[in-house]
Amino acid sequence: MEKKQKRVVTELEYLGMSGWEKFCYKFISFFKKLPTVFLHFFTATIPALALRFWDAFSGIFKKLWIAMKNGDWKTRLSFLVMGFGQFTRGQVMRGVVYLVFEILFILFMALFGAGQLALFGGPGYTETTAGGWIVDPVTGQEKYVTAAVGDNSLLVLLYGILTMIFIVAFVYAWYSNVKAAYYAQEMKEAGQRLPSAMDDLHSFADTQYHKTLLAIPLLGLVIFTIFPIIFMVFVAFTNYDMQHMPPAHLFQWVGLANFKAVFGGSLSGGTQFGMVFGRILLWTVIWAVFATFTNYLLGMVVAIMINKKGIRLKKLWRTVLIMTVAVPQFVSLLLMSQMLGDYGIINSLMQNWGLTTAPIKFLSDGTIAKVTIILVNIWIGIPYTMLMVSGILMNIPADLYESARIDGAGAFRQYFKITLPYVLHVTTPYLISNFVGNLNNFGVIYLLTGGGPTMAIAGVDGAGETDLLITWLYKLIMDKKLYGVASVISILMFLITGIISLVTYNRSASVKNEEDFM
Amino acid sequence: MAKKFRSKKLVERGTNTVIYIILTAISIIWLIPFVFLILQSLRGEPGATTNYFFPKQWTIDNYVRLFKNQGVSASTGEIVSTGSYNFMNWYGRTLLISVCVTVIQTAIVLVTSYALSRLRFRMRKPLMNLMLILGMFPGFMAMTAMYFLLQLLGLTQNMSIVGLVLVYVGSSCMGYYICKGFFDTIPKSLDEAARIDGASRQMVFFKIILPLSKPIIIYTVLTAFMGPWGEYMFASLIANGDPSYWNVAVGLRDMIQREQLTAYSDSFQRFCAAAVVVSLPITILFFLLQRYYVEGVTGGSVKG
Amino acid sequence: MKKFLSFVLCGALAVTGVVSLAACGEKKPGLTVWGPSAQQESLTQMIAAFKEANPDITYDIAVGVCAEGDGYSMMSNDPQSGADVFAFANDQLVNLYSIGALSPLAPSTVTALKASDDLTAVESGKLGDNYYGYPYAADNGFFLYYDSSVVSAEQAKTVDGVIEACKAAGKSFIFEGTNSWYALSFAYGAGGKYTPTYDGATLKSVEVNFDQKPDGGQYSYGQLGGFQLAEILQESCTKVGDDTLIDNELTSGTFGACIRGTWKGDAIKNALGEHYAATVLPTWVGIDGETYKWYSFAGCKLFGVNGYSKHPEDAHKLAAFLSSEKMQDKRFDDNAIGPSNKKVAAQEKVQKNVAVSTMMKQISTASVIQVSMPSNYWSEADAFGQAMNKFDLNDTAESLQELVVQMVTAMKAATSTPAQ
Repeated sequence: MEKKQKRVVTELEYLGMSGWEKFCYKFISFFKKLPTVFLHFFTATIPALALRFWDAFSGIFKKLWIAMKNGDWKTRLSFLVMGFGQFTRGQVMRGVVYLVFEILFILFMALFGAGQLALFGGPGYTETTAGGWIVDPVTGQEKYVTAAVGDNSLLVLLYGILTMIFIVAFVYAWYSNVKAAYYAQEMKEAGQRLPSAMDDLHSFADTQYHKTLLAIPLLGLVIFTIFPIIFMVFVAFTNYDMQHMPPAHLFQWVGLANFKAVFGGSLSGGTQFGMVFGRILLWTVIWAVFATFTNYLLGMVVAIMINKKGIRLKKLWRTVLIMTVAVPQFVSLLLMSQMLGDYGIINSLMQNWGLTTAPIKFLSDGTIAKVTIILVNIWIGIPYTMLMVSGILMNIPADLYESARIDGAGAFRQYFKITLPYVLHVTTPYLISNFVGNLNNFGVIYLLTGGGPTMAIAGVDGAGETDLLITWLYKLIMDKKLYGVASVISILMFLITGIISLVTYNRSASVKNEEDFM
Repeated sequence: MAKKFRSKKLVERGTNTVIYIILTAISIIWLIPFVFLILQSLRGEPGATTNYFFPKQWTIDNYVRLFKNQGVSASTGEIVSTGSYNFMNWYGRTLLISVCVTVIQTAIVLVTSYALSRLRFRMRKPLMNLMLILGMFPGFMAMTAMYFLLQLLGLTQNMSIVGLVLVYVGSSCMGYYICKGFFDTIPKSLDEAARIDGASRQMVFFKIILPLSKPIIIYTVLTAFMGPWGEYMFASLIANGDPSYWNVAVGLRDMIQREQLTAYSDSFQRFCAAAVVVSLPITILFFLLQRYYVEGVTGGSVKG
Repeated sequence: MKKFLSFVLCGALAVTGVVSLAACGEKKPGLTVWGPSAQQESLTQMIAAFKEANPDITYDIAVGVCAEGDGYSMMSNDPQSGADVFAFANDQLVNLYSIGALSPLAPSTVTALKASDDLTAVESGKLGDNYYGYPYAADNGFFLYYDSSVVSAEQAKTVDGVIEACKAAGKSFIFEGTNSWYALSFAYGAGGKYTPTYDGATLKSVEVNFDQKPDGGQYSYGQLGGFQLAEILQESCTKVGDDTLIDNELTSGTFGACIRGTWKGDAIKNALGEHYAATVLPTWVGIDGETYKWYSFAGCKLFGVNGYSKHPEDAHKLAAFLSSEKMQDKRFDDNAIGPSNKKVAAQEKVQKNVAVSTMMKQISTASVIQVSMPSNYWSEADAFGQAMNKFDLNDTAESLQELVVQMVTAMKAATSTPAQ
């Protein structure tokens, strides 16, 4: 990692540092490097990716063109009737699969998909007419006319996206069908045997095994993660908010209005949007840094204490700590928030014992609440780190310590020379993922303070002192129904955290050296 | 020489004492909330809070009422039925969801991790990167999308068990990271030897990798099993207000709504009792399988 | 391992079987009612009474949970699958209407309601030319509870008297003044006004005058109310907290007085016994030396019929039944809910209920009707309350006015925010 960088510290100097210094050096140089890394990401990684993408994309058309030009009538008919090429060349099973898929797709589009796509995003919706009472002019009796529910822009959007996903799948299948048909033709022409249905099946347990294994997981991923994300990206371009709640009021495309609102800082309602965003972002970063490193360092200390030679009841200490992992987090957090309340048991007891006269506002004063949250998070997090580090400590070769002891190194030197560097080296990926996870840590804040107390400033529109970006987003969506704007902020957050983690992961040693491990 | 030896021993004993003191303090701090939970669940006095730690009257009535679906009325102080609230129903539903999620999620995670760790195919790296970052998308908007998708499939309300299982396991392949790390530590030479003997990749997976993966399987089972017990938001959305479709978390949340916590109600005590009952199976599982959990997490999350 | 897995699988299958059998009792098409969780049992009994009253039709009625204050947030998830009949607080009227979740009442019903129920309560369900709710409770506000052995009836008439008495006895005065519901109550008392105007569900304009001075006055309404709030919050005997705190103080015997609504009445009565007393909010003396009233919000609770209900006529029938005289009477007996029905309210047992009758007096003498507020009203009031809690009482009146102006400016920006 260091080799590419302009040298500030020579290799020799670096090697001469203690583990702790090495860590600090790495930590500082990591942040120093961040801008360069980002620049690199935008100037080199993205263009390279784009180029590769273009190559792949144009390659598709090239292959299609060749299949069209050189294909015989069987191959060419496969362009229209999927599976035809396989059928006529004896690969019946493949042919049937392709054909059935095509028929299903046509049916789906005719019956459902086409209608949804035609309406997609409006205009051209039928509005809902509300119901109401009419009085029969003759009898004077009242009768209720039921509401006539029109289109629902939300459902149209969702179904439209589903249809698009299906179309993409179909296009891919169609392309692979043409490719396979042409391939079969070439094989036949070269006089080779085509794989039979049995061969195909066997390949799915061997050479194509990844397809078998990943089919269901990836299907789940597409439906339950990618589909909602696409939905959210589309919503960012609509005016889906409290005044446009379908089916009563339909939302429409509004172009970049939500992006302008967020970047222009002129988000309606909160007149202090820019300030609020900045403050929350700052606290989010501070929180993530503290939450990650306090847990990590203290967890390691606890693990080392428990695993120290000569300490008895190791299992007991470990078990006690693991209780926090075993009890559902929402229970322990709700309980904690109850206990730490202004008039909760902890304050009551402290007053009873005469330690304090007034309640300490553990959760209701902005600054104290921030500290409390970090402390409670330590309570939650230490057991995890402790467990992990315990395992690593057991793996450190004992002869390392032996030789250190012969050299006359004391406990502290051993710790800084052997334990710390070893653990740090091994757990870097864990640290990174933990940091990113903390940036988006919803549960702790939501259950402890709900983001409160409210900032005592006019125009913040309900933003709280302890709100992280993620809990603030939750308020924007659940309380204020600002779906469009929230989508924009979600996309921004995703870009930031996604890029940070992609860059750091792919630079971290264990990913780089994946292949040479063992 | 002898003197030096003794002083060293003394120092050692000193540090150990300090460590024992610290560990005891930590243990107490870590245990207080749970002790408090259990004490409150056994408290006989009514009311949401007390300003003392140990109950003055001990009782198991809170548990009895919890299972009989009774409660002390928030406004009159009489024991009444809690209407459509049925704790056993919530518990059964959550347990069922949890078991199903455990089975499916474990299978998905193992399979994904094996594919990403051992098989080499064209889209492997991009796929790993994709799965890594997709989970970082804030998921609240996804709830709306998912709710209407499940409604389209008829999987809300009375079919919500199926719906919830699908939602919980839907993206579980993204949690491949630790399990893949574990598989990476299993020497490749083992597979290669088997491959030379003519084993297919499938056979390698079932005959070689899986038998060596007990810790990580148990780790995955444990984490998968715990998840649904604490999930509150989607479960309450999908139940659409009907308490017979709630899970334990939604029910527990309701027990400590502000209006439930009055001077006579036993709502908080029942909440604590319910929390104890909920925590029991998980805690027992954890105690039994602790060793494997530690092996799994250390084997998987770290590698040099 | 195999054994373990197969064990888990078998377990899963067995449980699936059992539960799917249990889940088999599928619901026939019918009606769904949402009510607050504390009233579930009472609601179930009312529905049984409704079925009894309509023996010719077989209703299949399911009961769900939704606090009156959550009507909108529950309904807005998916109004089409929401309950047919649901309880809501009147300040959610505009929002519920905007998602089509309310169906109008028949003209004849409205005429009947106007005759039987408190007119303000009926009107609180009005939007445009239509009425959208069946009122069943008119008790959403706050007033003063006190321990008559600590505070005398005379002292309870003024804020200074209450505070003095509590201080002298070493008891606490509990007031959640930082909460948005209470934060502007002094400012309203001083003459402050906040009026949102709607066109259908769209907020047209907001009129706020907290930053203005009364004719010939030296201080603005916000300054008067804000200073009083800051002062009372920072009194040594004042404790800021919610129901839990009141319970705590009652059990520890340090309760002096508190500002709260009817829901807390029984708890306080039980704890204080013969010393239990309640009265309308005391008067206060502003920084200008004038005496002002202390205003409460006045809110009602109504049953609404979902605009997307598949059986609207039956749903209206049920909603009318649930808000009828008999049911309001039952609700008062079961849960001490203050009725909106005039006959029920006039009964001796209601009048004897100190909390409910005080609430009614408070609403009729010193209150602002809690209409549908834009969402940022609440967040601004909240922020103002927090600011007053920290406000240095020795600071200048100008710096207080600055905070008031900031709040008003932010409130006026509401026309571009959605209502809540």
